[in-house]
Amino acid sequence: MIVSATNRIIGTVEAGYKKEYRKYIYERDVQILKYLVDYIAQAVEQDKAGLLVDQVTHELKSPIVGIRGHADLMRMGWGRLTPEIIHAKFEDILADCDIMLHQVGMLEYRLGRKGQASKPTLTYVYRDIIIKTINQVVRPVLRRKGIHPNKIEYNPGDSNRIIIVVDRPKLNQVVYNLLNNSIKYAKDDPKDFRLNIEVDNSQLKGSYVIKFKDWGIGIEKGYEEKIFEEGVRTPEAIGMDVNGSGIGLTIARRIMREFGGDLKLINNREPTEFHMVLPRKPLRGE
Amino acid sequence: MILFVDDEEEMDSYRMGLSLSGYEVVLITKLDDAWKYFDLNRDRINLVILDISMPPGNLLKDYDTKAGMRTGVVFFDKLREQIPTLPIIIFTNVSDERVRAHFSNEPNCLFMQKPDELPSTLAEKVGQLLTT
Repeated sequence: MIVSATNRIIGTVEAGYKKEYRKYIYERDVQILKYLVDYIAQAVEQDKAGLLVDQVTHELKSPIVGIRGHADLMRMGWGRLTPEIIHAKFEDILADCDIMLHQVGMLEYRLGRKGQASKPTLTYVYRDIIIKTINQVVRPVLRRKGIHPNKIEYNPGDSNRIIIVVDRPKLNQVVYNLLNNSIKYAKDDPKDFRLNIEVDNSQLKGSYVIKFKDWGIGIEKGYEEKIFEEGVRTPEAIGMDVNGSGIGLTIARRIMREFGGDLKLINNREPTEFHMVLPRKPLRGE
Repeated sequence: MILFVDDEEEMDSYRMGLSLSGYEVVLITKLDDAWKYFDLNRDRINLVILDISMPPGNLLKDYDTKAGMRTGVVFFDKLREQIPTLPIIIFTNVSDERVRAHFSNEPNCLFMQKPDELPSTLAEKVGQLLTT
């Protein structure tokens, strides 16, 4: 069975009659069956495409609507809102802008584009990648979910000195996707949330390893590699009350491998542990 | 009282906008919790604001919600089964005309698209629906 629009093989169908009922299968019967199957396949593809558009636009519109909402609220409540609320709303606006940029990156991937490459820049791994993503995007998201920021533990080790030359926004996208998953798939009670980030300078020769550990719902056995495939979500993730498209880890691993590094799942649960492996790139001028 | 059912945290500005306009608002992000709240407080709820694309939760896990993209359509019917005249505002990012058409003949119902509305205009529409 082939989808005519995409030439994608989606399966096979067997058909026939019992001998006592009918002696021959006519070419016309086969044609009718073929038309029917093609029609169903096309309808399924169109339905899927429509839902895909909905998923992508939904993810993109959310932060846009958020920004407009925060701005209008400050306008209508000016003089009545406390400075703390106004400060929080400004933080929300900045976080929504960053989320939107990340979503555009995901959209480009879904549309089959690699995304615009930025000029590689001198990057402090700890300051520019980890702390920046936590402060700009993750903190406001945690606040909205009622999770205290001190639930994120990070141990820089001697990573303050680690400098690489890299396409920084793409690396930020990887960290964002990992942290976003930790928050999305945390256990229900905000008090149980825990995330640990550690930079290991010593484990692999020629590489730096950033370790992300969380104590969320975990990854089911048998899904260790499947979670990196496009569109795959574990049954536990699907069963949770969060929407997701199942492409965050696919994109994150792809970016890391383009850099010559990798993204690996080291432990399924308690804690769920991902390792982001960064190659030691030569510094400019070296 | 207004029951606001939406899984997006960004809706907090809309909730605050309604509060600033003098309404008592409860924003609930999970469908199962929203249904429990509705069940316990049905006499106090004057209006529901309802998103369309939400995880279906246990309540609607066996329904055809199109992978959560049409959950609100099913939840709307469940609310109306309980209180047929309950004013409901559909507040969504979904731009599919078929979804809009689905609600076009429903009495006491407004279909609003999030990108078109601000917290202040949502508060105005709530006032209009409550006075009709």
